[in-house]
Amino acid sequence: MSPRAQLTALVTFMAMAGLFMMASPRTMKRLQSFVLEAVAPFAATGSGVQRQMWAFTEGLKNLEQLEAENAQLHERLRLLEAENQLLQGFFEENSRLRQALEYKERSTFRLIAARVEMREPGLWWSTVSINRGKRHGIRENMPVLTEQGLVGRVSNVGEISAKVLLISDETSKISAIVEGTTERGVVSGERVVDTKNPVLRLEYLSKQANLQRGQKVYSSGVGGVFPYGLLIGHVDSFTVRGLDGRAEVLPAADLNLIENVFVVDPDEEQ
Amino acid sequence: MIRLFFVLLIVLYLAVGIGTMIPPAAWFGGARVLPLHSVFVFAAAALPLYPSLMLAFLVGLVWDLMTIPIDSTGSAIFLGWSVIYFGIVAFLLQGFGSSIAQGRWEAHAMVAGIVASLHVLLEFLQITLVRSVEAPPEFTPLLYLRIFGTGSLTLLVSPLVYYFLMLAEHFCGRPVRSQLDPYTRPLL
Repeated sequence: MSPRAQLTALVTFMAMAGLFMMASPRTMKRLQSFVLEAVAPFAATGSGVQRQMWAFTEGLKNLEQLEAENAQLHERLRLLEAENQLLQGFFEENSRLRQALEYKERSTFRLIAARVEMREPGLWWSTVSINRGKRHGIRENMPVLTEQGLVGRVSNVGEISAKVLLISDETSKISAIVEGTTERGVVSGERVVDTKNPVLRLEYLSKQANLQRGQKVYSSGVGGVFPYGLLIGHVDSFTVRGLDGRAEVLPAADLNLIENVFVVDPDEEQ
Repeated sequence: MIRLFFVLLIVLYLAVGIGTMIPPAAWFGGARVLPLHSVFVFAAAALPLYPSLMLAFLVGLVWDLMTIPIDSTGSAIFLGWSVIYFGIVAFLLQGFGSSIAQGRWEAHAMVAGIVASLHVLLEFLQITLVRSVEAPPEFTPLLYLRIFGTGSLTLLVSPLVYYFLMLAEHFCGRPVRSQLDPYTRPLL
């Protein structure tokens, strides 16, 4: 190929790349949805294979371990049933008191069940794709959770799928409160974390916070994206920096093994 | 050559899908295998400039759209930069086809590893540039392990990719090998 033809090819290529780079966010989002749906045939099996590989690396359990785990789970189930009965009583009492005070009953949001179809193949962002999109009522910024706790928020919606930005991503910011204290802070992820045990940062706490290991961290409801009271994780450690305090938080949900999630529709009550 | 182009296009699509199935290696700093990069290096070396650039455009576009988060304000980093990256790789690998045809699988593996590591390193530097004020970069051993581990893992799977692509090349009538002169052409 002559140098002139090579130059023409390069110039044409650069012009096409430049055109693509100048596309509006709306066009980019549409293109992204299109690409995600094009790889959807792999996605369903892909996430299953990934989960199995993760589970395999977690280690196989022998019969004795399984028996012990089963006994523990039974005990926990009994405990939770007892707790649930107790809480039911509190709930009824709370409702009566609220009625007496003419409080509006706390709304319960509609949950849309979804399945994780694909994990992001890159290295610096923590996102997953779910098998629900516009057609199922999913919109941008809807919170996503599992029965264990908060997972993330919807960042981009396609017709039949959506992308979820996980709480372990560096750009995820959630206003949070800590159980049993008046402390408020912002929970965010990190760009480079141990993928096996991702840790979240809880920043902008007071220096006197003195948080203890195991304290629960919930969403504060400030910011309008995440409703109040969603469990984010548990405090792992607390350190004092120059101007504020900072805690490391272990996410409540296992972000490596999430399979079934719920998307919270804040505008529609159950 | 046209048949090889379309076969490579299909293989690239499969590589995208397989890439999503392989989880990050937690024992290796969260490094990943990037089969797409390995296949692309083969394609860029085996094909002439025009089809290589076409593949570079598609691969860069798909990679960016699959990995970079986009919200209503725009993308996290320059969407489309990978198109230029793969374009430059395609341009630089022109003329590398003869070594592929001669069976130099180790050369393909080395280049694939370098291309994968360099891509994730440039991606990291771009994020650092965009977010340097709010999130200053922390250059930890884990970071280096992730960047160079990705190249190493890609290098390790590349001989397998090379083997399958040489089979595909054989199926397409050996267009890459036919470019060699008869005295340097491998026997198999």
